[in-house]
Amino acid sequence: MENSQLLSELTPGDTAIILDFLSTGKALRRFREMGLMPGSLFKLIRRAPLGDPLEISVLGSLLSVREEDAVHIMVKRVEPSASPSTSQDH
Amino acid sequence: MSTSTTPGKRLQTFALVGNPNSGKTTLFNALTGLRQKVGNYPGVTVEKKEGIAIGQHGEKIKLIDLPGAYSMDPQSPDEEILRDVLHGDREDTPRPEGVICIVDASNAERHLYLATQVLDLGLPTIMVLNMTDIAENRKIRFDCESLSEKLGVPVIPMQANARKGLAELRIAMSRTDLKPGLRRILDNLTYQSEPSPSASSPDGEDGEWNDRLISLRYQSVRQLVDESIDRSDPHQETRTDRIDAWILHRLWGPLILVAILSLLFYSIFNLANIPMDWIDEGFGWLAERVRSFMPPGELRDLITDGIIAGVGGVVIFLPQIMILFFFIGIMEDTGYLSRVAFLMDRIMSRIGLNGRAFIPILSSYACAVPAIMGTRTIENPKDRLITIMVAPFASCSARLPVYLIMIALLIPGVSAWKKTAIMLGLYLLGTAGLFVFAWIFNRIFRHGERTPMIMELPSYKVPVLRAVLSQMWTRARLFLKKAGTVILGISILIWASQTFPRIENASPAEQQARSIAGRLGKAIEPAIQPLGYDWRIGIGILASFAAREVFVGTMRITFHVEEGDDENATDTRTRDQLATAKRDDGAPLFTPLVCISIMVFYVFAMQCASTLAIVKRETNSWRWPIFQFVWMTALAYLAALAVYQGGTWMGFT
Repeated sequence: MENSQLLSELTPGDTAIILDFLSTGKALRRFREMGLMPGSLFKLIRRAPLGDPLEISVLGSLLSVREEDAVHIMVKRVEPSASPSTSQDH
Repeated sequence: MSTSTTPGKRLQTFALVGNPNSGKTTLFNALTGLRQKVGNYPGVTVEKKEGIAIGQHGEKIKLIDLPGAYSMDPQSPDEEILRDVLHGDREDTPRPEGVICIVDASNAERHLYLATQVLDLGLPTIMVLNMTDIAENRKIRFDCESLSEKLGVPVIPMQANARKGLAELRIAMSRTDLKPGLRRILDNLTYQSEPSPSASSPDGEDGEWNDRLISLRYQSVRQLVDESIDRSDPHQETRTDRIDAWILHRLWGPLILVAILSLLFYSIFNLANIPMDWIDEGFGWLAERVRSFMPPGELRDLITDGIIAGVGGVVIFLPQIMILFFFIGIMEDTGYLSRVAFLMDRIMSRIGLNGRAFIPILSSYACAVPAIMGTRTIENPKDRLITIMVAPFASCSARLPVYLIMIALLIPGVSAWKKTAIMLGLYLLGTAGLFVFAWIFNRIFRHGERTPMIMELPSYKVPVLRAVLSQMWTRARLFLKKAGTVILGISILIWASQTFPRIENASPAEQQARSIAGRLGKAIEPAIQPLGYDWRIGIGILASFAAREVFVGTMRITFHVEEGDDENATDTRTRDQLATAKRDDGAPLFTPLVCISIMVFYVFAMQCASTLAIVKRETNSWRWPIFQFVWMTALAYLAALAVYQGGTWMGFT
C-alpha cells in the first residue's frame, strides 16, 4: 500500500489512520475494544523517556502501547486538519 | 430473574459497572459511605466489594462494586467476574437485579462500548454520565434526555467526586418502574450481521466475527454519540495534556518521579518510625502493666510475651502500610500511577513485567507486606503473581538489624565505607535474586506466550481525600484481620516453643537451650552445620521465621546479653558478647565466613509470617505462600552452603 507505514515508525505529533493489523487472532482484540481498529484515527503523542512505550490519543483517551505491539499495526499518516469526526480531543 | 424485572417492585440489589477510571469506586464510596464489606470471590484473586446504599425513602439497597472492565468479552479474571456476575453464573453472588452503568462523559464513546454491552443483558439499568465537569471544560455538551430516550434507561449527569447528582441517582434507584434498556444496539447488530456465526465459531480462534462485532458496535455507539453529544471543539489542548508535558517530559518526567519516590521513602522509613516507636513503647508499657498486676506464671508470660508481643508485632506494620497506601491512593486517584507505569515500563519489561509492577517492587525494599497488598494495581494476573513471588527478595527493613549486627561482628572497627559496601552488596544480591527469578518465573508461568500490553493513561483528577483515607483504612483493616490472626498464632507458638518445658530456677539462656525451640535447634544442627551454624544460631533462625528481626533478640537471650535502656550500649554489648562466643571445641563461633553465610541466608530466606499470610490473602490460596516459603528457604540454604563450603575450601574462616 502507498504511504503506509508501521505505527512504530511514526514521529510524535503525527496523526494517522489505522489500515490493518498485521497479526491476526485474539491477541489484538483489546486494541479494537479500546477503539484502535482499522479506520480509527489517532495521534502519536510521545514516546516514553526511554524510547518505549508510545503514547497515543484515540477516541478521547490516552493509551500506552508498546513498540513490540506497535510493529503489528499498519497505519497511514494523514494531515491533522483532515480529521473526520472520529478524531478526538486528546 | 422473572420476579426481579417485574415493574412495580423496588430492586434490592444493584451492580455497579464501568470502565476502569470511570469514577466507579468514587461513586460506590459516595453511595455506601462506610457501610462496605471487602472480601474475595471464592477461587479467584478478585476482590469482592459490597456495600449498602440508602435509597430515596431511607430503604437499604445492596450495591455490588464489580471490577472495572473494558469489555464483556473478558481478558482478565476481573473481567470474567464482571461477566459471570452479570450473567448470574456465579453461585456465590446472586445475579443483581439491576445495573448502574457509569460512563465517563469526557470519554463517552469508549465507555459506551461497554455500557451498550451491558444494556444487551436486558437487566433494569440506570446510566450515570460521570465527570460532566471535565466534559464541560472540554466543551462537550450532551443531551441526557435524548440519550435516555435512545437507550431506554434513565441517564443521570453526575460529578461523583463532588457528590453532585447523587440525590438524583438515589431517586432513580428507588424507582419502581426501572426497565431494561431498548437493546437498540443489539438489534442493530443482529440486523446488520447476515449469517449467524454461532454455528461456525462463536468464540473461534480466528476471531474475525468478533472483530466485526466490535467495529459494528463502535459504529452504533458513534451514531448514538453523534446524535446526543456535541463535541464542538475537539482539538483543544486539555489540562491533562498540559500536565503531561511536564510529568512525561524526557528530562523532567524522571526527575519528578525521583522526587516523589524520595518523599515516599522518606515517609516510609522516617515518618513511619515515629508512630512505630509509639506502638512499640505502647505495647511494652502494656506488657509492663500486666506484669505488675498479675502474679508471675505461665498465664502471665503467655499474655505478655505471647499475646501482647504478638499483637504488637502485627500492629507495628500499620504505619508503613497506611503511608504506602496513602501514597498509592493519591497516585492512583490523580492518575499519576499510570504515568509511573508508562515511565518505567521499558525497564520492567526487561524482566518480563510491566510498568505497573514498579511501585510494588520498589515498596518491597521497605516492607514486602504493603508492597504485596499494593500489587492489586497490576491488572495482568500473571504479572501480579510474578511480582508477589519475587517481591520478598528485596531487602526489607526487617533484615537491617540482622545485617547491622553481622556487619558489626565482621568489621569491628569504624570503617564506615567498608560497612556501607557490604550493606550495598547485600541489597544488590537481593535485587539480583529478584531480577533473575522474575525472569525465570516469567518463562515458567507464561510459557513464552506474549500478551499485548495496552494501558490507559487516565485524565488527571484532584484526589478525593475521603476516598484515599477510606482505601487506606480498608487495607489496614484487611491486614489486621487476615495477617493478624496468623501472626498472632505463630507468635504464641514461638513463645511456647521457647518457654516449654519449663525448667525450674534456670537462667533465660538455659531455659531456652532446654526448651522445645532449643531442642529443635539441636535437632536441625546436622542440617545447618554445613552452613557453619551451630544449634544456637539454629534457634535464632527458627525464631526468625516469625519475623527476621527476632534473630537479634533471640541471640541476646542465647548469649546472655543484658538489655539496657541505652540502645547503642546494648548493641555494643551484643556485638562484644557474640564476638567472644565459642563453639563446643573452643573455636570462635561467629567467624567472618559464618557471618557472611548468615547474611546470605537472610538475603534469600522467606522468614516472615506476615508476608506469607498476606500472600495467602492476595493469591487466595495456600499453594503460593507454601511454594514461596519452600523455594526461597531452599535457595537461601543452598546459597549459604555455597558461601561457607566454598569459603572454607578456599581457605577462609
